[in-house]
Amino acid sequence: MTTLSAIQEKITGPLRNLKAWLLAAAVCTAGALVTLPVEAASHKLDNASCQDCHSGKKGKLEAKGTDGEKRELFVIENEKYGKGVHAKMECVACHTEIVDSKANHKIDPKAKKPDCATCHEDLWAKAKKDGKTKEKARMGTVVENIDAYQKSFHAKENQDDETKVNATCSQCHNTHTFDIPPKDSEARKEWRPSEPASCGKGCHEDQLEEFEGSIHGEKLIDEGEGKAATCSDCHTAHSVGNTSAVTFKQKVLESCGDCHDDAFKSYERTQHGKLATHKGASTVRCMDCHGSHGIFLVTKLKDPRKMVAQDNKMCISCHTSDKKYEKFAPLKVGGKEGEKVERPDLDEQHKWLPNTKLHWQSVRCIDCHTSAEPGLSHEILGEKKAERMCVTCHTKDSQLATRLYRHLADDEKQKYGFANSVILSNSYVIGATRHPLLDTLILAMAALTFIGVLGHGLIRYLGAKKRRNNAK
Amino acid sequence: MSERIYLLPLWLRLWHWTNAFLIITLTITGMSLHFAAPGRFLVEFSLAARIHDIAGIALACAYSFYFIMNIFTGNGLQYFPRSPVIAGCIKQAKFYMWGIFKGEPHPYAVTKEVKFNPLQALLYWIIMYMVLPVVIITGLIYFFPSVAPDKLFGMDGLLPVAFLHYASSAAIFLFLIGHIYLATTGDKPTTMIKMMLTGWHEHSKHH
Repeated sequence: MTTLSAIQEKITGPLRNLKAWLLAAAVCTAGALVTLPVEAASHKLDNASCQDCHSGKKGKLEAKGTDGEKRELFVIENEKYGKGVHAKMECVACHTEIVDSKANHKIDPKAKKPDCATCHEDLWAKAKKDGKTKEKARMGTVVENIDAYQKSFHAKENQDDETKVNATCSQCHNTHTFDIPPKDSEARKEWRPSEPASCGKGCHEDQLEEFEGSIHGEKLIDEGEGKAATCSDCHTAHSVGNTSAVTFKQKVLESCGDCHDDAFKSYERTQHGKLATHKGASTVRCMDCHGSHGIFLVTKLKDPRKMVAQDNKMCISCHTSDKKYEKFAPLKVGGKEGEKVERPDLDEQHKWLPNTKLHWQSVRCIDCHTSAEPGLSHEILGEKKAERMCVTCHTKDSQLATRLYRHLADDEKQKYGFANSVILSNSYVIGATRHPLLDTLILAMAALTFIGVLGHGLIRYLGAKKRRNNAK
Repeated sequence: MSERIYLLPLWLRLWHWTNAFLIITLTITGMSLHFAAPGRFLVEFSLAARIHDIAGIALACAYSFYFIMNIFTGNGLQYFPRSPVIAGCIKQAKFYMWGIFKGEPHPYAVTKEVKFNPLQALLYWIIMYMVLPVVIITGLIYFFPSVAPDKLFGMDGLLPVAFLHYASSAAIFLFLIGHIYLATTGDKPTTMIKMMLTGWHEHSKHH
């Protein structure tokens, strides 16, 4: 038995040890399993871990919104985020409400939601405190922009949904990529063509459509010409405000002048231009004739009659209304204090012009009231300097082809083979609408008839003379 | 010796000279308008436009008077071509092409009943009842452009009106040249013009 017990002892002895080892291993493993998640969770709130899900590579991400409805989450493209100004920041630096890394995160109810304005204002205050305003000048610009935004129409309460404002920072600025290049940089020129889409899509759709069809839109969007006007050139980026305010209109006028220098100078010399420089004066400015978003509105109309109706309506509405005219009239020279020049009677002024009303329906006021020199001038000529020579238009080489019909003339260039074919196909203008073949034919027939009767008369005369001589 | 017939009543002579004056006025002003160019015009454009308008209205009135009087007096019948039209016209044309140079008498003698030779009747009939009304009607449409179709063959509706006005006026002008010349083919170059002033037709006895 002793031998048997000894053998049994030999076998179970190590097994007892193994049990003890296994128990120890199990205890250790369990301990590790209990402690590990706590350790790992703190690591998983770094940007790489967030990207793991929020890059969109694992499919669509959805979360419950405040209203209990599911909403789709933004996809954060790591590459783009890396190029943005916030690239070096941790996601949770802004998303302070996120406290765990599991889907359907726990939300810290005390944490504030990401807020651009507060963060940037704090940063700028800190920069000022640290005396680093020069190094962090850009931060100052952002704060100025925030200030302008807060006073703008975009920051006002939305009329349809009172819980929202008209537009938030993130509707224009992609807060994750935040890649709007600074003004006057090369990158900014490349970025500009994308601006109209961010204003238009979802908000200003009609204006975008009109803009896309304009000369500015064609140059900017279709041809990628970075210099062409974009939304913020007139509306500003952050101080978007009341577009019917005179101050806004004056600012737009100056913006037009930044590029259209010659046109602006000739406009400045006109009575309209002089009035525009008066503070607060309401007068005819660029966009009143050229349109705002759909610049070259006149060209788009194509039909000269419509162009005439549109343009003349503007001129005539002021120049036939004492009330409107008085508003813009200059002070009378040598008159009483505050006495303004009286509105001249439009019919009386145009008395010399035959078929006055027909002219007003057929040609634009500016066709006579701007210089006949080549190149369309914006300088409106007054009564004394305006065109009075009928034959400027009523002739074969009619000025109308370079004025009212110039847009069509470019398109059609003598399509019918007639002189002034464009004018001919659109309206009849005495002296200008002439068919050279018909003219030649009629003149030749008249000449032949003359020669015929002269020849006939001569033969008759010679015959009669001969008969008289014979009779003698 | 010569014979005299009182051929042309006062109203007709008054109308004729009024018509003549207006047509000459309209021709000169019309040319000024149609062939207008800087520094080249018979009458300044805006003046020509006003005169043309006034003379045009006057011509329409004169024509209405002429038309009505033609009906009331029966004078209108004189213009209708008489048979044989073609043979008569050829005979008259042959005279103008040949006989006139040899001093032959006019093939158709003027009588109170038949004033015009066949060619003259046909031509006057065409001019007075076909061409001149076109000139007047198209001219009047210019006073009321809304009457004209807005668009015709893709062009402005006034264009065919303008074309007809121009072409028919040109026909009147050509007629005018021939008419003035043929007025000198009486016994003496002034005989017929005198007749148009006095109303008395004079012709040599051999007629």
